[in-house]
Amino acid sequence: MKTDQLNPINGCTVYSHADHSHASLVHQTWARLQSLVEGDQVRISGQSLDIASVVAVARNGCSPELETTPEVLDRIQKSVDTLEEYLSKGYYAYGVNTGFGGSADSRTKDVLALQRSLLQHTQSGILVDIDKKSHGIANLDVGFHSMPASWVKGTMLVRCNSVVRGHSAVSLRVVELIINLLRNNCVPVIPLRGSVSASGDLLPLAYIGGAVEGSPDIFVCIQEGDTYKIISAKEALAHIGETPITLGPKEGLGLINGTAASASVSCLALYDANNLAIMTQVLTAMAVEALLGNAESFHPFIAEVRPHQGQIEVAKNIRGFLQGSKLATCLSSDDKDRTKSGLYQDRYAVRSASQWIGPQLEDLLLAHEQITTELNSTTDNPLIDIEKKDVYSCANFQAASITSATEKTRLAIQMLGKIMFGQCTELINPFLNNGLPANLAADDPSLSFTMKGVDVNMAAYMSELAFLANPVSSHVQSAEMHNQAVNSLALISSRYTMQAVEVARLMASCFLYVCCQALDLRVLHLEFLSKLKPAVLQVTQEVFGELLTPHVLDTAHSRVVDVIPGAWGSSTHLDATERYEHLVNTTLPVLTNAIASTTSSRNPSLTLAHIEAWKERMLETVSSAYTKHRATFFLIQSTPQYLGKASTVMYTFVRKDLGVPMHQGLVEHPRGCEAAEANTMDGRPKKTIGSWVSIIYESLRSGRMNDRIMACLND
Amino acid sequence: MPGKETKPNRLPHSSLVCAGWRRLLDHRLLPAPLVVDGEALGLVDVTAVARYGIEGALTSDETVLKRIEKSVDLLDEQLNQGETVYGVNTGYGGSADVRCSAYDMRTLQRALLQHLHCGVLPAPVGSGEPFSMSLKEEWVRAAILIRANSLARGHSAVRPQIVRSLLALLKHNITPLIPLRGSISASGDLSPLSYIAGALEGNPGIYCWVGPPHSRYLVPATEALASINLLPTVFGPKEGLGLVNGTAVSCAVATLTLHSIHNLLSLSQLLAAMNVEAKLGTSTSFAPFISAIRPHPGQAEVASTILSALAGSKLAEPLFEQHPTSTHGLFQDRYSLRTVPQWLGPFIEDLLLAHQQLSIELNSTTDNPLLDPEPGNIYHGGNFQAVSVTSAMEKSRLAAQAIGRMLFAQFTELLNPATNRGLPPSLCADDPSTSFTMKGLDVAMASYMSELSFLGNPVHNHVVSAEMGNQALNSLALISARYTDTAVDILSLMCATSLYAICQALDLRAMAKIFQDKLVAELRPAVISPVFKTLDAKSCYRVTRIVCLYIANEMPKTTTMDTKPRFEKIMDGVYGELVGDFAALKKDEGTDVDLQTLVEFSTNAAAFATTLFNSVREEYFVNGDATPLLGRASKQLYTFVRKDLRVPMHRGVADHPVSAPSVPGIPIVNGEGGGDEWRKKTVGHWVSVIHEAIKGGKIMDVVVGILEEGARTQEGLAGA
Repeated sequence: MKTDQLNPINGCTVYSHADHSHASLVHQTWARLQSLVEGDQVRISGQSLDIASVVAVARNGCSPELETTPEVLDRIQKSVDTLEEYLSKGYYAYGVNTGFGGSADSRTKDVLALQRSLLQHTQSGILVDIDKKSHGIANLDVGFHSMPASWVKGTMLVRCNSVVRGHSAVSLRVVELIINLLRNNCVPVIPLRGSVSASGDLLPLAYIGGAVEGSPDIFVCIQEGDTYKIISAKEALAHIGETPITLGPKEGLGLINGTAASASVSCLALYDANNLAIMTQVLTAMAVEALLGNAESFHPFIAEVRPHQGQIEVAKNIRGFLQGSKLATCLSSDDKDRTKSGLYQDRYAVRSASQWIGPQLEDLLLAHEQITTELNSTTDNPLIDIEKKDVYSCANFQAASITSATEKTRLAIQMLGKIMFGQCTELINPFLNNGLPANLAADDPSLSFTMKGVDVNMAAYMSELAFLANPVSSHVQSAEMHNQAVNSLALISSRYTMQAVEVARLMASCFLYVCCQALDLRVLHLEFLSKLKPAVLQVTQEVFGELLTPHVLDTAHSRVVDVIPGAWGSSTHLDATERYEHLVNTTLPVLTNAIASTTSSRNPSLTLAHIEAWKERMLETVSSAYTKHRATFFLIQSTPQYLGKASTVMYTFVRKDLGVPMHQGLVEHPRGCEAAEANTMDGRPKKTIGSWVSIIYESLRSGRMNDRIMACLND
Repeated sequence: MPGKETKPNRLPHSSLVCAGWRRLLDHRLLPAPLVVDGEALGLVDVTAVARYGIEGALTSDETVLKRIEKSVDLLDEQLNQGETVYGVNTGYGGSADVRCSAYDMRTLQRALLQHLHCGVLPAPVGSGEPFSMSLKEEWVRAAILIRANSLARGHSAVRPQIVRSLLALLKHNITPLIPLRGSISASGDLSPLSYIAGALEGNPGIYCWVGPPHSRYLVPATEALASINLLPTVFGPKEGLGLVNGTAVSCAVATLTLHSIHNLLSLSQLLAAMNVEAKLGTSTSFAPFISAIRPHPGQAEVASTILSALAGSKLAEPLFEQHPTSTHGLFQDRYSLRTVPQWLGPFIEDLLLAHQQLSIELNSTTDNPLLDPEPGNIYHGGNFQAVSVTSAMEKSRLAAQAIGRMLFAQFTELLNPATNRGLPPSLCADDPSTSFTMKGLDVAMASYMSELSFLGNPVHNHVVSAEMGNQALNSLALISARYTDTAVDILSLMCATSLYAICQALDLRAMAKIFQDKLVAELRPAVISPVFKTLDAKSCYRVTRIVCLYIANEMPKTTTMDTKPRFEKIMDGVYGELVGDFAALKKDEGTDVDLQTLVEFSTNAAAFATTLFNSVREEYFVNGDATPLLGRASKQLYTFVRKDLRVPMHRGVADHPVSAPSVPGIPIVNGEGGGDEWRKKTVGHWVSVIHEAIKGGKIMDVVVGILEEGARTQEGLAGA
């Protein structure tokens, strides 16, 4: 719990978790990304690259700029000069006048040829036809065997930031050329596979090197508006008015011997995972409300007596999200029902959310530190020390920090997915969801299975996510003549972490859709029940008003009213008409007994016919009250009035901003009974359930939803 | 299955692959519609329809058609008698506790589809190609065919016209767009199949790929149906369920994947044989005796296939004798070569079992409930549980991992000068101090291998209890099949990379042999006789023999050196060999060789060898051909790569697409000029060309040719 300290070794700031909650970190990152998107510059200085900047350049089309202070420029030039001086003394430097890797037993004088030879043997990845064909598709993330453009852009940025630190002897003009490619949306086509991230991401980075060299057999994708054109690097350089560069003595090595590709992909994955971690907490709050769950699970006392930082934070966050909710119980201690019937505690999927998610936040925070440090590191070999004018052989390219970060992140995503899965299945299952209809169908469950498909999907996503959570790092092979007997596999781990993000986003989208539906149904039924009360009183009065004393009538009514919610809630698997009967049949004996037990003497005028009449009137009343209420509710949902802080934000976003409506059941099916049946309702199109979820998913993937998630964090 | 065969097939996998390939060729040469009758759908038929555009047609066999009709009638009868039938007048899965009235039965089928159209596809679905989020078209085509075949069996109460409608989609190349994820393959592949049903229903919210092969685009199902004058289907009481409750999608992905891995397993055995030659290994590891005394059929088949592939090789040691040029010290080959039959054998057996499991699944009714038209019963069961497919796919993925592991081990040994028996490091043809030809591939192979090992993890142990606990067991067959497909994709990258490196290694062997032969022939007249003027002809011959033997021994030990220093070092080393001989010479014959002459010899010999080596190499780069040395299989695969695919031997740095600048800093002019500019490509480019031939199946013409030839020879031997 100390304040920031300086690391005695490198002078960098050390973050201690206590002072930097996960939520504030995520919020800061988001705010920084906003400011970059709105026009702030991403500056490349070698010191200050952060995750938001990588996201901004990779995904949001922001153009980076080189920090051209004398200090930075001087450092770059000095590293080149230092190496030159070193070589002029006739010394050997690895990869400059020796062979590479397991072949470093050879020496050469032809230093320029050596750099070409380096790129030659590392440009060895496999691309398929579609990777090299210009296509008019809007989504670049589809190439079969090449990396998505966003990953490559991030890689270019990270590598530039690393080499301008002045330990790599990569000259200014090379850095400027790469930045110019980035600024012109010229993205080299890089094979997806082939890196073990040990001597860095040699193969992927070699394709960026090839672009700098203006190779006619390296391809570059140029984005112009919505169209993409793939041309050779040679043509691409001409296109942006650059000439190919002959790489100097260590420039090829300096470009490719590094962890930039792993760092880039891990950055993007971590950014998404962090947002998902917040979203999972928001969704938990929504699930608590939809289940009429207990806010006590998130009481500060609980976390105080088991003071893990992550747990403390999650409890605080979720309790904050629940503020203002009329659905969650025990938000204050006055509000606690100490003689509660039914399930006394919530099930683990909601009750243990803080204990479950907490450790994940701690892992994500450490991953954040590891990756941020890596972004501002020299991950090269050999390293140039411009002060002491020396060259050190080392292994700063070993990307195990990134592997460590992404393995943790992927496991964390799996844990987030698992708790969403637990909560989601609980909401859909009528035996667990505390009185919501089976499959969250708004109409009759015999003919409507609304969320059942989503329920199965969630299981499929969960199983795949669990599979993906397997460690990657345990599959290291001794590589490259046993020179690389340990290799980090950071890029593979990052790629599968991205894939886990993808699957978890599908889960989060489905679950948000489910939560909104559950909240609507919860409010629909709560309101119905509260409307039912006076109606029942009226019926009872009409039938028995003249026969019973006000006291007896009152007692009978209150006993009936007491059992109504339970009776209604236990028939959720039935169609509406059967539910009315179930309700009336359950309340009838209660009424009868109440009257019998409170009426001291026999009342001759009270007959079974009255009971029969009450039943008839009740059936009519319940039926008309429900039908009327539901019809009104379908038109305008009063749900927001009941919701807590976060739920309000998310619910409104889904229903209003995205226009994803409450699902009314079978009537929503785009293919009606008759082919001619209208394909619209309530002035909006009918869609498949998948299409509605897809709208939510798109907003999540594009980052639009994230703005709203961050709004939940605002006090 | 034809039962004529009397003697057991000793090459079951190889014959399966060959027969399959022949059948596929037949389909492609005579593209007649495939008859769908529910009984005889083969794995290759599925491939033909899915990948090569063959159509399917419902049989005209009256018995089959009648059986289908009968199942529909039976259902009607039972319903008329007021029977309750799952999914027809009840709810679904965990919600089967609700009943619906006869009036609503058609509505129920729509409700079924509605809740299953729940997968995520990027919206809005437009002309983009969101195939990263959707199933591949070939998978969907296969699924349609398999479902049609299953329905034709007449246990599902789905009318024949529905089967015909499904096949019409295939005929007109209309492919519904289906989300990639969302099936646990337990009550079958419900959600994915619901998109096929939705397309028949003419649901405007379901999209289909249409248009010619290279410019496909998406239209709503309504439009797709209209374009082929097909009326939207209104499903009868069980027809929606009959379409979606089945394993067709898992089975489709599994079938196509198994087809690919079968082929790669065959190829990998030939690659192993080529590896034996490239490393001057021995045929003995594949001797019939070895597998006869440990008679696992898979092991025997692999040994037999490789031994026959090696026939005629001048590089591999034949059975029972040591190679005359055997100069290496390692007595036995390393495990990556020596244990190939034991390593691959069990996976041959696994893939054969997987084949059997899928063959049965293809011609099964995977529905629930099931109708038995003859006695007129309806059974409720769990035939949709796709564990047979999962079992086939988990095995296949592990097999892919094991095949990849073998290729990886062979590959790294081939590139490593410490283990490759005298080939240059990273198989560079020029000077190793500035050329690293295959080193990048070495790292890439490790990367492929690691990913493949990761994918080798089981999927099946990640089952979660699903759908209100009703589906506590669910097969995950589709997830398993998808990841097997990814694994097989990676394996194909590894096969391509291996083949590229092996061809290079074989060329380097051939080149070295030419050099060695020329050296033996020319060293005496060119250097020895002129330098050792005092020696008589006989002594000159003896000295030549000593020197050449020494060089032959030293060449493999000096592969990491550049040409010039390499020969200088070798020729200096000859001193030691010659001094003793000259001493004896002086004693016996009084002939004196002075020190100066020895130094002169060394200098001249080194210069001569360097020049000869360079000129042999230059010549080989232009006209080189390794085939005279190669065994039966190598010869054909090598020729395929070098001649048919025009993938040339890699010459080293000279082949880098970015040429050397004359003066540092001067802009480079790339890829223009001379006649051999076409050879200047990235290493990755050439491997990609081979990969294309493997992925597209072109290489199988060669592989099958080799295997069939081998089988004929074997028969000949057995007959003799």
